[in-house]
Amino acid sequence: VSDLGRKKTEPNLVWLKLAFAPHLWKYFYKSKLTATFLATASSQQLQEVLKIELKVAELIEQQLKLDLKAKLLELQTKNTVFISREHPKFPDNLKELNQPPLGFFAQGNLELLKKIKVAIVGARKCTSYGRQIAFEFSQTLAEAGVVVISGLAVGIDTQAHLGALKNGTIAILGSGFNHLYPPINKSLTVEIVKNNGLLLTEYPPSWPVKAQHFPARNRLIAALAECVIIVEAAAKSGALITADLALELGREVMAVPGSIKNPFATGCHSLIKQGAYPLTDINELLSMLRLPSRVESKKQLSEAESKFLNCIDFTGTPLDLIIAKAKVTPNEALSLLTALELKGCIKKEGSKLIRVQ
Amino acid sequence: MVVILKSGATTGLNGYIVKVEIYVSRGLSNFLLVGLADTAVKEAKQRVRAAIENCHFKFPKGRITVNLAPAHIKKAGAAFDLAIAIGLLIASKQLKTETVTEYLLAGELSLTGELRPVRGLLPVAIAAQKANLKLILPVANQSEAAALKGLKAYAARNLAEVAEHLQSQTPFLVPVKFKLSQPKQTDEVDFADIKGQLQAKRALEIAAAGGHNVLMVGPPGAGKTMLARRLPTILPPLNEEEAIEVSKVYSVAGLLSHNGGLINKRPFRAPHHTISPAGLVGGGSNTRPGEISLSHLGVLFLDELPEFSKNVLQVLRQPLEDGVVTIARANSVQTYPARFILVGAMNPCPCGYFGDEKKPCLCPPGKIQAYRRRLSGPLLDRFDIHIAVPRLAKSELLEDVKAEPSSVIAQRVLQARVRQQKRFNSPFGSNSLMTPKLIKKFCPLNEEAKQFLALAIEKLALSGRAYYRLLKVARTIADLANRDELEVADLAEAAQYRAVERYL
Repeated sequence: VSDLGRKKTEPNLVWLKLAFAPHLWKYFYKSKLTATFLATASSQQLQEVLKIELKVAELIEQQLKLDLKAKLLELQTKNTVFISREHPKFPDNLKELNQPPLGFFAQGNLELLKKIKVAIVGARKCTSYGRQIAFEFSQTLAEAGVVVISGLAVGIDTQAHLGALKNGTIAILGSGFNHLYPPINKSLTVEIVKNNGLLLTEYPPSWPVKAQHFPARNRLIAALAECVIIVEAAAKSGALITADLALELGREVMAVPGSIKNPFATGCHSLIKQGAYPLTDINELLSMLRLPSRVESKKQLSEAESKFLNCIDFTGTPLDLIIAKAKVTPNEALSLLTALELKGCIKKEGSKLIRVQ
Repeated sequence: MVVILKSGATTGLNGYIVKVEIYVSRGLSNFLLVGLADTAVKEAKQRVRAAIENCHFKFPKGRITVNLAPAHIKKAGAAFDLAIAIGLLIASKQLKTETVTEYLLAGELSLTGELRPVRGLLPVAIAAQKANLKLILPVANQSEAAALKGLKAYAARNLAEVAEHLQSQTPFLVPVKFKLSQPKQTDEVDFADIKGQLQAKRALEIAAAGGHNVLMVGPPGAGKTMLARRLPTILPPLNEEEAIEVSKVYSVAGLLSHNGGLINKRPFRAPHHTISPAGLVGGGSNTRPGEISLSHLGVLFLDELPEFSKNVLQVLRQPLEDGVVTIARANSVQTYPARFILVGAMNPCPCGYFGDEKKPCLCPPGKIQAYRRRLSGPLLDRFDIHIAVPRLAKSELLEDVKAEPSSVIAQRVLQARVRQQKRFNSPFGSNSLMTPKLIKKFCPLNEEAKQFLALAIEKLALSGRAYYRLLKVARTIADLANRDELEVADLAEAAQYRAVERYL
């Protein structure tokens, strides 16, 4: 039908063709037909073999009938590469999946796929405690040479990427590159690529975002990482899907405990009850990965600063109360706050200030 | 014979003299009013006729022409009634007077001949004073004339009194006495009413001292409105010149109370968020000053800032920069002053409880972003100070804390303002108006401060825009402490007023 059949030396192109037809994927996984056959089949053939409606078959045929040269050129201009499941750079980790992707589109530094990878994921709705933990764990791991993977969602995912930004981080998307989601993180994706990171997606560039893509995306996160850390997740969170998938694949699953009163931590706590490792110190993970642990240096505080710090609880104190306890004027208090914030001793959460150290 | 009298009108906040020319000729009875008069002026015909007849005069027969000069400016309102009526009495020889050229007549007539108050009388009175004219005005407007030293003014109750006054050799009416209205000593509200909210109070003190605009972010019931209402109480009292300037705006808007005299308190305006652009900056077919001009030299409080329509927030930007607003319409261009401290208040998210300790926030993340995006970057840039206003914590410890009364804070503010007036060599000079060039000149940093600032910008995720704002606020903090040098502590405190960038 086309010249594709003859060019058997370039299997990558066959996969690329299929990668542009996401409607065909589930039939491909089910039917065990060869990629070459599917890539060249007509709508009648598809209808007969796959026992599907003509409408669906025609839709698939249309998706398959694409100008490969133009598509390749388009990918090239946008610095996007396609790695098929038979490509040498396709990571072995992904092949462990029941249904490994036909291939993936990528922008950025593919070398990251060869390094040790840890996923840090969590809910979009989270507390500033969760955000802080995600950022800190991610930063420490990245500085120790581990590649941090996450899903680019707002909340925990964003912080995980930000923490590891400078050392290269992998973001796995649930949509095509032309439909970045969430839009607010568009600038983050630019930063990730600029800082030698990697963006990766199963979906062709013009494929829009859909709710069902996210569980599929989560399976890639779970498969690609050696270990998955869940930072904050409510009872029903997408992050728990990632945890389940990771368990099925035999990956290490770790959960960060939170306050028992925090509704955004219940998912993590139930994971811990089911046997997930309660991660309270990132150095534990580093030693499991046989990497040297990091020691934080002690902070130098002036007398006024340490006196002020002693008026702040680890569970949080409102500013008014701190001022009353420390017996300082508001202006003194505010400048002490900045000093302590710069030294990383306190954090602001909602209406309260929280002592971190 | 043509009778010429003088009356007055306003454009923007300036009064000018209008010549009222009246000519009665033989012919069929007719009453023509020319000189770009609007409906309210044209209706003077009916009021004047009834007023003259009800004061036991006769309405002249014949062809009456009234011209309002200069003819190219559109005239509005009913202030010409009195001059037209007196002119008609003179033209029909029912009133003999030689002194009428020394007067400026302003007032609306009722059908019975009573004089009713008019809006915009204060600027007209100032114009009369400049032209060395005596003023006859309605009794209800007399407090506006009383504020002007050296102005000879007479307040009349009705048309007959005015006629009597002009006719008699000795003045019939009693001249209005000059009386400078004293500012009331007590405000109904005071900062001492609020316990806690120490950061917000301190931020408002800085705002008052340096003329900085403030944005307060906090859940419902945190006390944002309560705090904003108390900001005028720590501003220095209006001086005489300023009181007249503010009163002129209220006079033109027709909002000056009839027995209260001049405005001598800093205005506080809190328009509802459904306000239209014309309502906020001024406009309408007969252009009137808007809320920003009504808060001139005072405080404009916009509660629920993101709920204001986009247009309204956009038109706010230019006056915030210039201190005046120019309203150009097809038939007029008016300029009103608008130098005010803007206090904005908003919830952290649509439901209001983002970051609250007790109530969970129910907003989906996208909604929160969309809500905050309603404030455009350039508008957000006009706020030097952002603060989070949490709901008050209840604690016995706080019960003992004595809250400072407004009068004590006001003294520090005044002192800081005097420093700024000296620095900028202008009565309106304030730190908030410093350009980057002036900031470099007046905010010199020593090595330690430079290092601190670089660290703070990196570690606290402050934007480049925040840099100059932080320095301006730090300058005011140092002024409050009566210091020329900027210290690290000033910068450190200023860094706490960037809540929107840092915590939201």
